[in-house]
Amino acid sequence: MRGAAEDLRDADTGRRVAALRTAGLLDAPPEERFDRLTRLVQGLLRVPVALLTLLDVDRQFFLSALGLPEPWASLRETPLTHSFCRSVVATGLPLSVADVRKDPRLRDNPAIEDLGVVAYLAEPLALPDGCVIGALCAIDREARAWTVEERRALADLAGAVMAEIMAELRLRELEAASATLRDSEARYNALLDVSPQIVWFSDAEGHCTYVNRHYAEFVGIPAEQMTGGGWSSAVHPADRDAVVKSWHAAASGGKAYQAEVRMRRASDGAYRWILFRAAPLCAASGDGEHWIGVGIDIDDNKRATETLQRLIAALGVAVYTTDAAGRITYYNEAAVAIWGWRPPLADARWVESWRIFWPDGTPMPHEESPMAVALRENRPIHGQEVVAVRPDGSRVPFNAYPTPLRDKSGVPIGAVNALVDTTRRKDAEAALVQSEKRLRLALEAGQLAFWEFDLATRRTIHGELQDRIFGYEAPPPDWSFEKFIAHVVPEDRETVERRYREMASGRLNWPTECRIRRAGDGEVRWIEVYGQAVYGPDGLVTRLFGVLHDITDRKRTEAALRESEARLRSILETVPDAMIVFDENGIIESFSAAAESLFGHSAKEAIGKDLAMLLPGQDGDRNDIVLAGYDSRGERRAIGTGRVAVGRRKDGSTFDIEIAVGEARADGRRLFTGFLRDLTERQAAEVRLQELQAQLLHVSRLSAAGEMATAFAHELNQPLTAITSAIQAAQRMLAAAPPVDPRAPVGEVRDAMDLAAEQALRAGQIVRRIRNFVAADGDSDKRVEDLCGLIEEAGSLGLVGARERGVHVSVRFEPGLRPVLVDRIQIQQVLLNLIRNALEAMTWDGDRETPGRRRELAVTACSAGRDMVEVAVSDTGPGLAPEVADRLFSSFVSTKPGGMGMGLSICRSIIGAHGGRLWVEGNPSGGVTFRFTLPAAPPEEAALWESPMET
Amino acid sequence: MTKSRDPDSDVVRTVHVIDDDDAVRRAIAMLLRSAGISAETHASGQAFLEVLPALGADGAACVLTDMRMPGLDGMELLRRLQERSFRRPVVVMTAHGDIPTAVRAMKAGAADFVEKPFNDAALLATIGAALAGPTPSGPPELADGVRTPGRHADSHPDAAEAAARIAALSPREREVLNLLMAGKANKTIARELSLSPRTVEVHRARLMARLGTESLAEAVRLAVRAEFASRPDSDEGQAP
Repeated sequence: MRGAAEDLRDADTGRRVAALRTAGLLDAPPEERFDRLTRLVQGLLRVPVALLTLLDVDRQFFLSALGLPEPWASLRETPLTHSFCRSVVATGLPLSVADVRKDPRLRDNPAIEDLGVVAYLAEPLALPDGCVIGALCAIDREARAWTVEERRALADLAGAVMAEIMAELRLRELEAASATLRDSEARYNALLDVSPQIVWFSDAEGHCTYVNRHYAEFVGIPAEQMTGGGWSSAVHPADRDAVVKSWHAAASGGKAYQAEVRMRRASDGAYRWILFRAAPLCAASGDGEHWIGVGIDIDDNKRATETLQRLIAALGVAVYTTDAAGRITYYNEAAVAIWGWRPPLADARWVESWRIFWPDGTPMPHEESPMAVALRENRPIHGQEVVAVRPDGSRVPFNAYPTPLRDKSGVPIGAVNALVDTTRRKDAEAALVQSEKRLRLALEAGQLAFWEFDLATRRTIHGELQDRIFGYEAPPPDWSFEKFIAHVVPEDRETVERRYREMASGRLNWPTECRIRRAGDGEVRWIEVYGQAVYGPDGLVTRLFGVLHDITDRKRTEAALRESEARLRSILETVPDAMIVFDENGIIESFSAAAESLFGHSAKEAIGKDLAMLLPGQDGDRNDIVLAGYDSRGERRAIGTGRVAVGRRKDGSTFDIEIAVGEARADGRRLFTGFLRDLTERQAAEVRLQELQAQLLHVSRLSAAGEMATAFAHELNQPLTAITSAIQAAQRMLAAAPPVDPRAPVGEVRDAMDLAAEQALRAGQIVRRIRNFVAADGDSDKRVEDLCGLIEEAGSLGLVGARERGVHVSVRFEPGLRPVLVDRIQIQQVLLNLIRNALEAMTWDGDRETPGRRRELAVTACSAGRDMVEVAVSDTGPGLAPEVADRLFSSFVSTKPGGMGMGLSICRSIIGAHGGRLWVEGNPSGGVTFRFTLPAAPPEEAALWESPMET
Repeated sequence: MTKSRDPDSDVVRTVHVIDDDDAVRRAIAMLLRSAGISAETHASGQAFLEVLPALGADGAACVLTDMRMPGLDGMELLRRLQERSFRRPVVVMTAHGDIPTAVRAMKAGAADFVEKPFNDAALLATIGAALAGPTPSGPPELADGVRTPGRHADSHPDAAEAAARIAALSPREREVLNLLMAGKANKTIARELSLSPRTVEVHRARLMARLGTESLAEAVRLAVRAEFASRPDSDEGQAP
């Protein structure tokens, strides 16, 4: 048997054993399904022993054994030495031996004696691939010749055994496969759970069946709630409906799904952009589909993109992007300006949206357009000139700068194109040169130093101005961030470094102010650094660039400004008028010291309160003042410089104030500055002034009377002289004449007495006229007066002595002159003044007066317009010197020796108070004419005045 | 009607009263006549000048004229009378306290002045003095009934006497007097001389006592006369 054993091929042994182990048949307990087949072998072949043998590496195992003696029946196995079927396995052929004792291959086998084998028939058991695993054997203890029928029967039964074994093997294989599957699924789930990305599954209807731990944690919803529809509650409310709808539409359509969705992150409550991708899976079972989905946080990327797009949108240059097919995926407003319309995104292929031409006007085929060329040839094009026709028919020439975009593997994914409008290229080019020049000049003039810093290489690029700012005569070779920091004064370093880190992480842009110590002179200067981050394709900051400039002077100016502001404030504090600053809502923002003392509120009490606190405003003062600001539409406007309002002090008392409000702007806000003046004192002063004026009028009349004293003295002396002389004459006559003859003097005495009495009356009248004039009090009492009577009366006073001085006086009134509404005494005072002036102008210098000189004083009155009456007093005096004429009506200007110089100024104020005007003009024939106007009495009042006169 | 007569002749010496005011004219004429002085009245200086040639050398003993008159006023009348070598005394009437006019008139040749209103004694004394005034024909002789009060001898001294009295004044008193004659009030004088008004009053009282005058008018009269005394041709007036 050894030889047969040697025939077993190792490769077959391995496959055989693996199959047997897989099927789990070795050492399997006896099973009826196999025993049933070996019993069939016993019965059909009428043999005492039937065996189902499986050949292991070093033994043969009896899966079923019937008719074997002990111990083999219980052991169910024998060493390979006892095996006859080895040769069957080795050859793969059936073995039929009538008497093993006579067979040279088998007669030494110990099994002949141990098992009592004489006749032996075996059929191999082979797997479908030909690998023989054992044999089905029939054994007789008698020698016998196996018939063909017996051999065929055993072969059939071997086939049945094999079917049974194959079923088991399949089952076992399936179980093993299932176990493997379970194992790998658990591993996969574990993997998914530790994945930092969102992963989920759904069934064919789109109902979520699984979410990984990251997803559940990201949205802060337990996985159990996420399945089904719970996930949608984390979607941004604005996106939710659309997302759910589009997802279910995709799921039912079975197409791959992709969407950008804002999901709420539980850790900070922020909505972040998540790119969801889902793909349908074909299950092994084939019963419908389900989905696997992932979510990628693209928020940072998206924000960077948005920032970039905003930047692009803000550029003056037109920019648009296309996908690889040339469909427009993005464009900015400048592009719209050139195109003249808004092509629909992801639909319009730019090359098909235009009629375009070469610069010479010949049509440009679309495949020749710069963008088409750039996409086709995958190369950038710099400045191809194109003329396009807009939808409105206008033509726009521009230069195109398309650049293809490639992904990391170099595959074109689209292109970006910059369009530069060359409508006015000459101008633009000139302007460009200019603006470059200007930029340079501006940088120079602005003392702006450009700098750029590469985060990876830590190399810096900078202008020479920066060297100068930092105090270097020649550029130092080793500019670096560290060197920059070394210049920064220690107190500012922390701030600068923090700002740098913030900027390098893309979080924040400068400006930063800091102090640096210059090289060389070591002077500390203030600089301001503006910076901006440049992002690489991975969204990380790669470079920083910006400008810096020396702001030491500005800092000084600011300090000076603050100082002067403080000074201004202190000045304002000393302004005697109360100053209040309030905003457009009437809220007090500032309250000066004068305001504190005026209102009794401290600044602390007043600030933040409404103006209404100060302006009780029953007449709407507060609203007028505050609302006036809204009407002005930003135009500077003072709300009246003389608005009089009622103010309220802290103690509740009220008083009149005058408010002037001006507008100011600070930090883009409108503020109003109100100056408030206490009118209490001014009103008191006005009352005093009025009293003084009245007194002055009175005094001036006294003064006029005083100036006329000489004239009055003469006027009175005449009757007095006559009286005294006449009476004394009478006394003498009575004394000298004999009393016995009373007749003789009686006529003369009577004449004398009559004369005296008559002259006494005359004197009395003069005195009464003077007293009436002087004694009038200061109150103005306007009545309807007859101007003619008024002038005559004034003339009777003023013209005293005129005749004696040889002055010819004429008085003329226009017939039917209307009465005037005046204060009689005051107007008489004016007339008296003017008449006396005229008289004195003609006669005051007695030494120089010449008898031949014409002395004429004329007083006239006539109508002047509808409502006024004009009175003129003219003389033939020497006239007015020009230098006096100008100041004639000022106080304390006089041409008369001893004159007070108050007369004409009082006259003018009296006439002014009556609503008239007083002026002077020279006469062509010499002398001057003073004219004044007075308001005529209204007809109804004039009628009242006239009626008593008629009675 | 009693007429004044020149001692050397029988010519009736008449006072010619000139005033534009009819009542004043009539009243003065009544007063003079009641004192036995012949008086004639004229409504203006012009009217008097017109009748003057007919009066003859002695036709007018004295002229009494108002200063303030329309047309020809007192000053002008004095000038015209000087032109005509009118030798009789001219007494002028001024408003009370109008010292400057009085001074001006006397400097223009008036013999004396009276201030309106006047009492009969003052007028008659002045007229009497004027009639008896410094004429070459000797001291005037008053008509009967015209009593010359003793003090009038003092108040109508001749020029030499006047000059002597003025010379007795202190310099400050002279200053005060000059300012008074310019018509200035005590207060004004005090201001101009940097004195207190009270001091001016003291000076004024003292100078009046030294001059022997009782009124400012008398003091002025004296001062004007004294001024004539100091001039060589004063006796001849301003006759050319």
